Amino acid sequence: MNYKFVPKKEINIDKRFLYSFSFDNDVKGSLIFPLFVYQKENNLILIDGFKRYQQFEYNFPVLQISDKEYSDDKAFIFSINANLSFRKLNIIEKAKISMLVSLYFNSTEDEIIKILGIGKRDFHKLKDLLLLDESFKRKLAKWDFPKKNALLMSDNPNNWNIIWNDLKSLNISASQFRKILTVVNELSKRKRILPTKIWEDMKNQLKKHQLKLDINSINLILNIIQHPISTKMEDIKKTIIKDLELPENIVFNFPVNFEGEYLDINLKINSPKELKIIIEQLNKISDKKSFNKIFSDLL
Amino acid sequence: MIDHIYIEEDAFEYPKTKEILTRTNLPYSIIKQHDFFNDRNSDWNKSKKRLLLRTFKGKWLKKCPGTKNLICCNYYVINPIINCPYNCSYCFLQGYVDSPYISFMVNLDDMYKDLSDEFKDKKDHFFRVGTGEMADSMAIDNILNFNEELVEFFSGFNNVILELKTKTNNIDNILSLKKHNRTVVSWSINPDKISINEEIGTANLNKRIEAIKKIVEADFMIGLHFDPIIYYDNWESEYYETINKVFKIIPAEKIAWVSMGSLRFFPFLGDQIKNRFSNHEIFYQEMVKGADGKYRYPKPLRIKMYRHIYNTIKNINENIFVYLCMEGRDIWQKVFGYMPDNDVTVGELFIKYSGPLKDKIKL
Repeated sequence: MNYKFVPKKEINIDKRFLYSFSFDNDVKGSLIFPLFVYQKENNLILIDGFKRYQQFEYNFPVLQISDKEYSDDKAFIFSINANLSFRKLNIIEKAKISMLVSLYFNSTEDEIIKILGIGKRDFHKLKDLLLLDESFKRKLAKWDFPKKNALLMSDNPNNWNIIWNDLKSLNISASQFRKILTVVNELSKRKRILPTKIWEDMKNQLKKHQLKLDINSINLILNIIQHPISTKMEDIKKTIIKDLELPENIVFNFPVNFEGEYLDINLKINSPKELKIIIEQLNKISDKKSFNKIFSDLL
Repeated sequence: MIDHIYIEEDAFEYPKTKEILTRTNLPYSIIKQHDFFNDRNSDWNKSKKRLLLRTFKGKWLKKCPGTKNLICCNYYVINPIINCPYNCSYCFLQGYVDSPYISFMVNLDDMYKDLSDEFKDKKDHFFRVGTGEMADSMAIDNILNFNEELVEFFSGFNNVILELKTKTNNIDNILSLKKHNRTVVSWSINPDKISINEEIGTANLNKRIEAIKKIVEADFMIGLHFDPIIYYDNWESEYYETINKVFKIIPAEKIAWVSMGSLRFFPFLGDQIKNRFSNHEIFYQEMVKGADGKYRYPKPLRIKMYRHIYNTIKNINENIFVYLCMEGRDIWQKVFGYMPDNDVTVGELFIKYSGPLKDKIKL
């Protein structure tokens, strides 16, 4: 653990700083600004953040609070509040706060949860995200990845490290990763198996279809696994349209998630004569067996 | 179960309020008019234990809203109770009821007058009316003691049928009633895997069957709702066993109707459900957004499920009247081999095909 915390009772009063809440600079861009507490005469001087520390060094006025007012817990809450007033904390920073609270502070939990605007259950799940690989955490911090999505990994962080190992070289975007994460997670719950099993299944199917491990192929295969009935219907639909050999000026448009309700047919004509021809063509189409399959075989 | 009663100021003087307070002896608080809007985000679980007695000023009898582009069964609803003490994972009330209470409207004389006027005005119209749209009709009747008078009230009309829809075995209040010729007591039925894991707090299948037996013995008509039908491993064999188990104890001539409907929900409700019941695999099956905006299983799967249940029932007794809830005409055709023209024709099917109703509806 890189976090350094010195309990108040162990502080040598001669030392300049009583508390220093800071994280090691291991995750660039996901650093909690430190909080320093400085003893001056009968008061404690609280300085939050590097900027204010620098101001203090140059003798700018800083907030002074009496010793009795500030317990360890209160100082920590002050620090989080001060950090939040500067910027929004990313998900890895929140995970670190969750871990710190569970390790060092007892009475602050409810207050920190209130400040961060997180449900209690989510707050406790957050720290499991710290088990993700360093490069993965850095990426999540850089993406400013939404908490709701990131928490999908908290049950199985080591499974997600394995999946990330395949994905990290693909130059994946946050939204692409979010989609994969959601689908794999839902399939894992549907089949009651681990995310890595779903991932293995996906990779086997890629091999079977002779596809490379790239984002488009992954999405394609995951979609087939997630929507077996709908993709089968889609395939039947494509075969039927191919069989019908429609002329260019007749276009069939199926509504989204077509389930046999209705079919839009677009016709293009530029003379009354063409209209007669197209009506004849439509008559022939409607007599074809494959046309009737649209409303029967799909279902 | 209910541990505290809240009473809106204007509901305090009603006889029903006094009667409930005296009989139950539960602790109570009088509150100003309940601000529903400000309670939108209140804890849903707390609502299950708090009863709010209030008044209702609007029109009581309403047509079931059904759903856009689909066939509705021409049903009417009254909502003297809103919300329910149970915690079904799939319950649509999670997304609709924005109150931290189970509400009960105590100005019942207004309701009886409204209903009476409506039923007398439209003597040629057949009304199927239920209290189970926004609540479980029977779940807290031991506290409300309301169904007894409701059943007796409905017995005074020739063109109406009351449906009490439930998942409970809390039926003792109505067992000794004599004037119940206009009442159907209905149970929502699912295999034990679903009733235990998803219908949290309700009576399990065996307890429901025990309750059905008692209601049959008390000579009530029975309704059964396979709704929501839920897809999971072994659904076929478990629904088959469940249907056989339930129908074994009910004489066919007592069954007024059976309905079927599959699991469905609006996308916003799906998010809420997955948040509350994140590990329930039933919400992660393949679903597609239909023309009405709700998620349902893909049509081929729904048809397969309906056919399986319908055929199982028909193999037991082919005269039982079965209908579909919130499905399109094409599904009726594919499952039953016929399709109704519209909602009104579905309503007429009840009089035509429901054995117990044939002699009871005189229009």
